Amino acid sequence: MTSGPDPPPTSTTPGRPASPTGSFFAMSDDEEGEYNTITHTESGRGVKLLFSKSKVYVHPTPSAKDNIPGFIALLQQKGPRNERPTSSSSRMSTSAASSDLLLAWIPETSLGEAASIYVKVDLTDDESPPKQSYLVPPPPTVTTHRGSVGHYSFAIPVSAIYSLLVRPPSLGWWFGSLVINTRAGDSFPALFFHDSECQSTILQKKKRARNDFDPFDKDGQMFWGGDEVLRWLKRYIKIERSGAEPNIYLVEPTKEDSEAFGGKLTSSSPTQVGGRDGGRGASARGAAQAGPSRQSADGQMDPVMKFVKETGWNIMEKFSKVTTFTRRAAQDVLDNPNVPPQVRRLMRNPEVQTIQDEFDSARIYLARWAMGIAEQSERDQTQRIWTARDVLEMEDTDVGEFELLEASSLSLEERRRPVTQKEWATYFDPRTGRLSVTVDEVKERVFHGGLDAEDGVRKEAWLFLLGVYDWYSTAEERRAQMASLRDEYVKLKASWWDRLVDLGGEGEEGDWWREQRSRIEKDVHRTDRTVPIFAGEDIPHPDPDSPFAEVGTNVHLEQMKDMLLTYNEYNKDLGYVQGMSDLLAPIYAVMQDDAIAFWGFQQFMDRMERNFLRDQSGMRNQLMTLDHLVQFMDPKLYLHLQKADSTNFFFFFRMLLVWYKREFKWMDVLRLWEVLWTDYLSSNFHLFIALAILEKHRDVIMNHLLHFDEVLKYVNELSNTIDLGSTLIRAEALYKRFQRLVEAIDKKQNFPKPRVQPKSLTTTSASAATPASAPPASPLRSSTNAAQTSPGNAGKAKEEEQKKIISPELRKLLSRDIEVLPRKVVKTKGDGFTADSRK
Amino acid sequence: MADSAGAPRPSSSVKLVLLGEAAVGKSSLVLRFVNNDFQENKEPTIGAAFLTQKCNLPTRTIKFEIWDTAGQERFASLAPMYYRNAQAALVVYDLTKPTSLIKAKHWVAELQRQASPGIVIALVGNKLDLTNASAAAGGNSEDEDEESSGAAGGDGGDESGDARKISTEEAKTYAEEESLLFFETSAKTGHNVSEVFTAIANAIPETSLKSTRGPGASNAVSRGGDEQRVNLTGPRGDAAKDSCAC
Repeated sequence: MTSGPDPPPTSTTPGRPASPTGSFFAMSDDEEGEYNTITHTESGRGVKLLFSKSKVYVHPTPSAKDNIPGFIALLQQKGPRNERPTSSSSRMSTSAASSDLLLAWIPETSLGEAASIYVKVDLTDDESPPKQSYLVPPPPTVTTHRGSVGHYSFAIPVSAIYSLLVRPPSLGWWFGSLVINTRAGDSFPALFFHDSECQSTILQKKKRARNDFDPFDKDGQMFWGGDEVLRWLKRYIKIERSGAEPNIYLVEPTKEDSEAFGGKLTSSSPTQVGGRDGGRGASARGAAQAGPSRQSADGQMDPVMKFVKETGWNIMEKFSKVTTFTRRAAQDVLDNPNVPPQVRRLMRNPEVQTIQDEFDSARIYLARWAMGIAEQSERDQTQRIWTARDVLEMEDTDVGEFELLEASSLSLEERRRPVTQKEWATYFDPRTGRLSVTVDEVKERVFHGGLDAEDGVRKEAWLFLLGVYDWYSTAEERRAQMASLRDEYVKLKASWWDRLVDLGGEGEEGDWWREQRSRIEKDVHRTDRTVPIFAGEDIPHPDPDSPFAEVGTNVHLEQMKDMLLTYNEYNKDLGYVQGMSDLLAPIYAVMQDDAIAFWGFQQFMDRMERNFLRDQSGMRNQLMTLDHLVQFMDPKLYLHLQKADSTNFFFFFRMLLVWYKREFKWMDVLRLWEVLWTDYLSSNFHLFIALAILEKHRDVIMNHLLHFDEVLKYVNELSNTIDLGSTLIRAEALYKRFQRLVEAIDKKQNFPKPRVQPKSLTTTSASAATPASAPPASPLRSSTNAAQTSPGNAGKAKEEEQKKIISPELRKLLSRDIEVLPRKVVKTKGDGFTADSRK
Repeated sequence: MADSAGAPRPSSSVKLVLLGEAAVGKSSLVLRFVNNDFQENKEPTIGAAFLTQKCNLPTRTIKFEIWDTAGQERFASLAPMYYRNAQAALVVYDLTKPTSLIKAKHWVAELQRQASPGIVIALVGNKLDLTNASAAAGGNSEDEDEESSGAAGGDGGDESGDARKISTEEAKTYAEEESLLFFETSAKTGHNVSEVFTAIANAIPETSLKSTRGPGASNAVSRGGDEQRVNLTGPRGDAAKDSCAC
């Protein structure tokens, strides 16, 4: 087929578009011969601009300020051989137009004098191309993105496009995007449609909104810029939506492609090949999955549910065919001769592999659950109870390792830019110093971006996050508060200074105090001594009796001791406990002011107190919650841990006790804590960090670790090897999935499908044939409501079964409220001098 | 039969737990034994650490599975979970700190009451490098500073530079009364550390050994009789030639 189809006319020189003078490409009449192919650019003639859309951005870096605005455009060049048969034997291209059509993206800055033409075509309020021909200078044409690093402008012959990955905007992903996957096997950078800035899209939206009231308009779906591009392309060429991956559109698919991706259910793999942004968005995607099903239209949100509905009973069987594209099966894919070469190449792309490795589990689970739940709802089996075993059975039904399409990572990365002092200042009214945005907005930024480590923003921001400052206080109020807190600290400190005279005094209280003091002394001298501010031994020790008298100390160590002794005095029910020095050190290091750090620490301790009770009840509760969480989210792993006698999750004890202080490097700890302090998603987000760490290592654990001590040793040794960034992303994805699962299960329990209900109502007697626990009114789900209204113990028993899964512990994870122990509990279970346990 | 020169020695694993007051040097003893290393200002243990180390005896190999626990009382309620099924325990005190021996005695009592009946207990007085005996015993040079071995020091040194507060005699007498192995060690210099573990390995009755992978351990029952009772030998004198890695 060397001379068969047209090789796409290319000029791989990624030069800037020639900038001919306006006269060459101004309007011409609509005569085909008047415009030229791009191979004749030197002649100075232009190509025909069929469609264009403004405010389409490339996001080269996570930072919004680097975004490059441009136009996406469909251009037509004159075919080099007009006599080319339109129905050749070519499998690549049967359309006369596809190699003449160019899909281009041109930055605004490169348009030069053609800009006005692009704008004009963009604003043409018409379904068809402009009647007049608009000629513009031909942009540099390429067939692959490779080798054009740093140069974003491109025009690719449509015949060289393999597929388009189309992601509509969604709640989580503000901008819809489009990724061009080439036949050469790579992808262009994602193009983001900033619809809110794009005049033509705004106009079209308005028009559509009007049409919404027209009963004949069947899709009142959210319209966005990407829809337009698909619409243009469909005028000229065949575009087929992938059955397996509804956000993939195959451009002029071959028969094989169609079979592989189109009608039949197959791989989701091309979505992986979205390349750089193929990685994250289990979260964004699934947001819609738990929701009601929607109609499916091109480029429209959430086709999965529709797909699930359509396929219904056969879904499991079909999904078993998907398994070939799992990571584990990657080698099989590579060896399979039927796999399209593009896919094969892309599977080898190291970046794709990394992303697969990193995000494998979160994606798979999401898909499995969505499918599993949908499948479940189709069943007529009325007695399903959500237990770990059931979930496991569901996962065993050959659902396979279906890879979900990932939403864009770029907008997420943008949100992951650290908050600087400068940005922080913009949150506050310059006059009053009162917060002028919502608390949630601030928390969202800190949760995703963290705070700048260098510019000192933490010093102020942490006081808000820790709860020392009221979020809506004025600058004046904060100044006053600071002053009184300083006074109070001095007073508190004075209360134990008196003890110094007689070293704690006589009796039991004196013994207790001396013991606590020497404990603090020893612990401070061995807390974070590698961190520069705590490293020095430059001043003589003030206490000649200290074991460190000879070694010397430094001013920061002495401040640490004072603060901990003060806290020991302040919270006499609890007293000082090992681990607290770990919690104080980062706060002090950031504040470098003992009074302020003390109050920050005191606030932090409010939520951490439960970790330090004598009976360990607080720790046990958290470990138990983690147990429930793993059982709920990853029953297979849970069963393995059960076999390994490890479901006490004791190997997370240290991590939970001091919030991963020993697992991450110092700077990462600061970042992690400020994220956790936001309570943005859950006040127990640290348990999702644990889950994320566990999930990351699940394969190793499941394949190699068979006993509790092995698991404990392995997990202990993860210390200082854990990557924080990806752990946070994974934890967030896991949280979102958790949230959706709970919602989905609740929803199902509360709103049994109407289709099923009448059936069950007419066959009330049928419930006798099934296990007796069926609440008659709602056979499908053991709805809490149904269970309450149903007579007899059966419903109650059922309800209890239910709680096994969404236990109160799990429900609490959805809360953002910090749990602070009642003083009574601390008094009973604490170990301080005034604690009951000492009396 | 397993004793023949070339044959691989039977191998058994022994679960050992470390108990003792905070900052007496439990983790440092383990670090010395497992990695032959010492770390100043080693951070307090939280929860528990788990490490393993092999110990070669003339007739067999013992694989120690060491549970190093947090010292502070607050975490004491977790201890049973660690000493459950333990075949050996190292109860550590700081010989510069009298209260730490009291705490050690509590631990011994608890172990005798709650742990497996045959458990081998060794009482270990750590931070020998802070005493005058250290030069003679451990080759610790005089001009080395007075830092504690293990995590942190005791209640400060006296004029003579000898910070010892608990005499060898006192602790040894107690150990004999309770049938404990007894050693004074310095995790900092390494003095006597491997000896402790070797002695424990020798004291484990073979009957209580479960074979891990090597053959022979399970049918070595007949040899076990003479070692059933705890070895009362003092700290020095019988240093095993073939000892634990250290």
